[in-house]
Amino acid sequence: MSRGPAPWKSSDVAWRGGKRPYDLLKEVLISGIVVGVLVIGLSLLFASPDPKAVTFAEWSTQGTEDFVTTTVSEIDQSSLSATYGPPYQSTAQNGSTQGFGPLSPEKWFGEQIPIDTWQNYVVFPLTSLGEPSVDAAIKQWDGADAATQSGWVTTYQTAVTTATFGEGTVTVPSGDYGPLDTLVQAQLGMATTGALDAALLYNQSDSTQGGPVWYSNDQTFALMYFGDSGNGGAGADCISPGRLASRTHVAQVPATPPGGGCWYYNLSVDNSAPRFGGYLAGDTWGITNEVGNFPGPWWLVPYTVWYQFGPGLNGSSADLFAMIATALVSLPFLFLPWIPGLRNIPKLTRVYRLMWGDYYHLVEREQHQTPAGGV
Amino acid sequence: MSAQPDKEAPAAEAQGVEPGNWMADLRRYATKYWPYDRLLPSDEPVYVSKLFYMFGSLALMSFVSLIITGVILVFRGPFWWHTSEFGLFFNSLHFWSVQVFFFCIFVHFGSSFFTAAWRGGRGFTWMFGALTFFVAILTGLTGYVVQSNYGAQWIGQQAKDAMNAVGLGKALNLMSFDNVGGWHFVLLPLGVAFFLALHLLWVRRHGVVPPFPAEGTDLEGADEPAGPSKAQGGSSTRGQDA
Repeated sequence: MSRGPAPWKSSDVAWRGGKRPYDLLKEVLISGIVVGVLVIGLSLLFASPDPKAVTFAEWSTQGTEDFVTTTVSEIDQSSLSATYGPPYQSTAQNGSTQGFGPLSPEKWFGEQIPIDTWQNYVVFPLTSLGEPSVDAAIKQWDGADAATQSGWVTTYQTAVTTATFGEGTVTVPSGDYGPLDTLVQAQLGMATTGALDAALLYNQSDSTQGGPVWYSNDQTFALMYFGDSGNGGAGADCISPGRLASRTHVAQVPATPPGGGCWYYNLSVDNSAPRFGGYLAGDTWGITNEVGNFPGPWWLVPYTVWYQFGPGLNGSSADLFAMIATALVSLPFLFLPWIPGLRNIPKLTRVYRLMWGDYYHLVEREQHQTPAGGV
Repeated sequence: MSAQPDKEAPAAEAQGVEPGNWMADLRRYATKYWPYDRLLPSDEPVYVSKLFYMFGSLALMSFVSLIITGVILVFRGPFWWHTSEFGLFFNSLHFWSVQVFFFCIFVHFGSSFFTAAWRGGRGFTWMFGALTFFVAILTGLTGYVVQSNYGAQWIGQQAKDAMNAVGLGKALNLMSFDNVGGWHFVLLPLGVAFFLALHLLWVRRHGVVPPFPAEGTDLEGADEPAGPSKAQGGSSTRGQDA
């Protein structure tokens, strides 16, 4: 420690005061050992969450009614994914395109991943059956005008309310449904056997190969189909927000009986199987949580917090709001060193006095001993 | 952040190097700001003695752990980590490495914030750290999707709305393993590594930020990041700012 004029300023690029030997490589090595012990220990003690992916076979047998009603909405293209709009269709039929005035990136980019639920979810899988009666039903549906199709759907939806459901079976009272019951029964049959899972994983958008692309690992169609379960989570059987108040963390019993109408969503929000021990819906901090009692991606809180109130909770452009809000908050975080006021907060909080306590004690002791000196 | 090659051109000519030679410029820039004693130091200021300084290197080693376990997981594939205990163990190593990584990053951010570690021309050090964090968040998100289990299904199907809202529904399709795999296995880790490398280089370039001046001392302090004019050059090789 030298005396005389101040040997350093806090604005200096580097310290010119006292130094001590320090082995950075040893620090890195010790850090590696600490991380290794911690990670291996936690892995041995707790393992990691790996809940089995759900399938159409499970959906169609455990939530047959939900699967049937959802499939009808895919056939008449009234489902969430059929009416979503960009990027799946050029325009949203359900008015769900997000935007604030002219600010609507969804509209700017338009249709990028074309989805025609009738063709992609139903016709493509069913034609692979090679069943003449099913092919005829497809042709009959395609040949009918919109009013006729709508009439069939209305009649069928009414009939479904009095239908008899089993695990993977549905018996609808006879009526004028056109080809609908044939189509639904065929789709249900494919689903229960697992064939629908395989069929939907083909990339159907590329016709240049003259058929499905065998090397494909794109789950878009399948996951969008799942997402239409229970009318996109808005159905009557979907467990409502506030569910957590009356429930413990893990429910051991199914949320809804087989055939219930919101299978996919209730899996996440009601923990209908012990392995789904978390609550993953958006209004309960969504993806920040994890199944079971494992820690989730808690570092996404600066993003998911925007879904907990105001436009993020109830607005029609909640996602855009959350993304914009996150970006707006990120900018001052990124440029903090150059923002007057914000960059002075640490000095005002004086937390640094605790963090560098030893150093300040040293300086004050030396100052006391040599009033005119520096460090 | 310039090496001011114009001012150094005469020196370059004197060394027989043609002015405008990019490689020579780069070498001069590198040797000016990263001489060996600064890049590979064997000493540190006396105040670098607290445990909180360790969290930067702990985060770094967590990232190394993520790369090692991630490469193994990629080569063995989802079937392996879903069906074998050894595969699940490596999946667990990766999972907990992520948790440790972000925990260390948050502590590191906290200590950097409360010590105003951007002082003294260290603004870019902070900014590169923040960019590392931002890219790491995207890496983590895509990691949850490539788990290829129920959590992946739920997160992909739910989070796609946010991507769609900002027009990225196809560029980052969270419902496609094909697409997300490219991001999570290659692009995003490279992004993290890139900004992490810059962050580390700038840490070595400016050194660890000194404490605020003690009250009652005659040490003059400035709260703001200093520009080149504020630096005290000359006697110390570290007295350079950018």
